[in-house]
Amino acid sequence: MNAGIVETPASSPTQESDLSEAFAKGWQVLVWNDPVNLMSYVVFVFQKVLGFDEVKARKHMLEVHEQGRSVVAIETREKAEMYCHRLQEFGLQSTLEARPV
Amino acid sequence: MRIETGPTGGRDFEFAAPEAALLRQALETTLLAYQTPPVELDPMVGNVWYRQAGLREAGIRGEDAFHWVEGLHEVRLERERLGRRWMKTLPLVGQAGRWFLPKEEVEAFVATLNDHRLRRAAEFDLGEGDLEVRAMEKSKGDKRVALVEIHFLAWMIELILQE
Repeated sequence: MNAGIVETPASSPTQESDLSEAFAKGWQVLVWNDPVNLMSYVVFVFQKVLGFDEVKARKHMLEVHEQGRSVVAIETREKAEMYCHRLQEFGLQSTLEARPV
Repeated sequence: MRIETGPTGGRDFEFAAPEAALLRQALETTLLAYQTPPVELDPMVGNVWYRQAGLREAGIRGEDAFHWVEGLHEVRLERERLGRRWMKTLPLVGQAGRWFLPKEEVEAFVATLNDHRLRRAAEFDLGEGDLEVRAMEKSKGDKRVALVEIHFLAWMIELILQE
């Protein structure tokens, strides 16, 4: 086993900031109410795409239904885009936005 | 119509002739729409299948927005490929019959049925009040046909998803 010490190149403040931002869970995925999608279908999609158990899926579905929208995930930019895209693949009205500070 | 979950997680369907015919009609038109490039679709339908609202606000513009929509279209083209196989095995028009959907295709099938409902609702700009069952009785012509399809497929989706 090599016990040598490996020196990493010094990173600039900009690079560190970019990395920090990339890994920060600063984006939220929203699902909006619509008149067509069935409640049972929305629960099914939440379970499939977001990995929610049935209780959590129903909770968020009811939020969408009663309050008009629900924040279903708070994630890194990349993951938020992935979830949003997947939800749209199933016909749900989903958007992503920067998490309020 | 009867739909049961089989031992392997697939779905066993039993259709009366009109039910099978209605499903065929719905699938045929939606599979055709899946082939249509997003920019060539009826804008109302494009707005529900290839929604771009919110992309700009999220900083997804230009080429990124194009790829976003293309990704959604790719998913639908995959459903179209599966759908062509479903059409080959569904009961023929005028016939009742049984049909089996493997577990790994249930998700795509349900999403396709839902896409048909979204498309038909968009074509007639149907809102919440329009989609109540009572409203169907007052509707006529093509709008009534669309509402029949929307409600029939809702029933089918509910039966497929219940365990």
